Amino acid sequence: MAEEVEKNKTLTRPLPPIRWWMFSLLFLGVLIAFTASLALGSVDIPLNNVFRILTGQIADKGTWADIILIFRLPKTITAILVGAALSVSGLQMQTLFRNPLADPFILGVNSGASLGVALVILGFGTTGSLLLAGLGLFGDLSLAVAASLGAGAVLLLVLLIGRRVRSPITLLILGLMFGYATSAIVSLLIYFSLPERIQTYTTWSFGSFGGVTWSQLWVMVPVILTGLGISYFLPKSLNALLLGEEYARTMGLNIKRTRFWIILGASLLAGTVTAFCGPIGFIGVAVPHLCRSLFNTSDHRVLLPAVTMMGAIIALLADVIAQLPGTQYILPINVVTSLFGAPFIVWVIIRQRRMKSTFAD
Amino acid sequence: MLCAEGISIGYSFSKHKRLVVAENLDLNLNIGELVCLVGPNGVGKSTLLRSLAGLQPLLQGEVALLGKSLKKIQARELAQAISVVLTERVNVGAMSAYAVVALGRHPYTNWLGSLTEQDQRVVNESLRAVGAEDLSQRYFNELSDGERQKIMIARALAQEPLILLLDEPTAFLDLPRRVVLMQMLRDLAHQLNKAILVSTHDLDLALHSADIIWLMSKNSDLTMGAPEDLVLNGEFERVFAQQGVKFDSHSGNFVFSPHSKKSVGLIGEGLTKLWTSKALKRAGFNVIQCEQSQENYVEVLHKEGKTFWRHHHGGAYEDFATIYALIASISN
Repeated sequence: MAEEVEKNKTLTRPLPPIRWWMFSLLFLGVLIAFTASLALGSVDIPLNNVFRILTGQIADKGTWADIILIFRLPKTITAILVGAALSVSGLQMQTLFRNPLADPFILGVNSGASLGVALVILGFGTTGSLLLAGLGLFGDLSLAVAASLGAGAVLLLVLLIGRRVRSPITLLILGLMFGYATSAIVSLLIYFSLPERIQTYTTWSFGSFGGVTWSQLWVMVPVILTGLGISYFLPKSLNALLLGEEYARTMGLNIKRTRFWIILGASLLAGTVTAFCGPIGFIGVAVPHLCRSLFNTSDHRVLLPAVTMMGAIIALLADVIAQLPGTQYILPINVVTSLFGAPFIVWVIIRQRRMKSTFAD
Repeated sequence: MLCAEGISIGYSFSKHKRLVVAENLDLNLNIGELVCLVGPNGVGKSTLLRSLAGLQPLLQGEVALLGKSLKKIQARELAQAISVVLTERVNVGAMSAYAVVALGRHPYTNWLGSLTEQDQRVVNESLRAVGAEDLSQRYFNELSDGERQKIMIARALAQEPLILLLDEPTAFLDLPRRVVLMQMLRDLAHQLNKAILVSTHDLDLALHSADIIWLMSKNSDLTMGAPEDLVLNGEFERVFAQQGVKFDSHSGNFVFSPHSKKSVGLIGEGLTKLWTSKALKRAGFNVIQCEQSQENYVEVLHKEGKTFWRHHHGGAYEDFATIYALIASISN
């Protein structure tokens, strides 16, 4: 009898215990990275002054308040949003396509955005932006608007086609083809364009958190929160999809509806990020793997909050490094994420010796 | 329970182009029965199973669950009635076997998929029913094929279905595990009162464990009956003869070499004689009962506690210590 009770006890331990201390650590990490990103840069601002400025008190130097409130705070908020958005989006894509190499842009959302931006910068040049600005519609948002339109167009296409195709692999190939087609057009535009315009386009394609102003954040924050909100309603469906679409269907999952929401949520996140900050690679692929490896689970109820915070941390740290604290130079964000991030992630995954847990076969 | 009348299964590619796998099937799955769906490869066993599970649209006709058409049943409701185990190998990443089985509670849990006490009880019962309690905390990816199969069946049971459909569940298992698995499915059908349909090309196992066999053949007809019925009315022989395989109604086995070269006599007793006869048949001989007057025959002899085989051929003879040596010599 006692033995029976003991047996039941070990059996009823449901899932690996949700590691609250790991979540607390992640949250602490976000706070530290947030503060560091505010304090460090071309001018280093002491921590006590950072807190004073944030709480509305007077700082030691008047310019510091401007630096933090006008430049660094929007940039830091942007970094958090970008990191969270790309990681959540990437996680969903990897599960939807059951492919460890899938990233947020796998369906061609950023190709669409690139095309929009390329058309504005290379096609119409400054007159184009001036034209858009002159219409009084978008002001300094013209690049973001062009990118959003491009990303939105691709998203719409993918959603429309996604309703008709059976296999997600078909979608994958479609996304790839979109990518080829758009990059061909972009290449064509570059080929016939002027050097200074090409320079502008290349700079955009390096990615940057710094270009987002407070007024742009008023658009970016609600859209990204919507995307995250959609994603946070999906962990159960994503878990069912781990067994494959066929099993998921026999467990009562409406595949078409689920696919619609996953693609909508993920593309909204990825598209918005690309529109405001340029194509930012690496985070979307790497952070989900990093979290699977650290938490040793593929349960999305754990992974969704984990990648949200981890993505924010990585993006903030990348931003800090990109500022090259104490110098006047700023590195492109893509350079930093890939150059510093890749070896780190490789180290973590290999150290875990559980490649399988990263979802790769 | 699950009832289909005049259904056609297959694949439809466009309006005019379609591949019919089988037509005009009348089927009925009853509770408390283990049904084995057997037939040669490529005859459409998987297609039929998937069609019954609602994974694949029918070309014609309807499948009804308790009198209600599958199309009219909500996905969630259907998942509470029918669950499946498919052939594809799943890769769930890092998940414990318990968590995989718990996924089977999908049609019952809330939006977050949290397990209630009732859910946990069902998961535990499912694990116990397949004898996999000790696997529950191990990672699914680290299990052997047989253990994975158990967990996938437990997952299907966790859906608390009335009907369980399994596609080739014995495919990756060795013989002892196949036998154990079929026994387990049989017990599940009888004790938990489920209707279980198993597709398999393992005829031997089907003959020994099924309550009823659905025998599918190339020209798309389906014969049903107790295994013994199908042996006695010659259906097995007919279906497998189409594939060039001979089914021996006496032994209930396949005959491996239907083209017998020549006849050989056999004299002997008991188990040794039985297995010698099997060996000779395997080597392609037509074994006949005979007297010692025969021209060409094998005699099983015992001397000083040892068994040996004497091959008489045209008045001369030769002795062999093993069946292997006997066959090697006699075949030339």
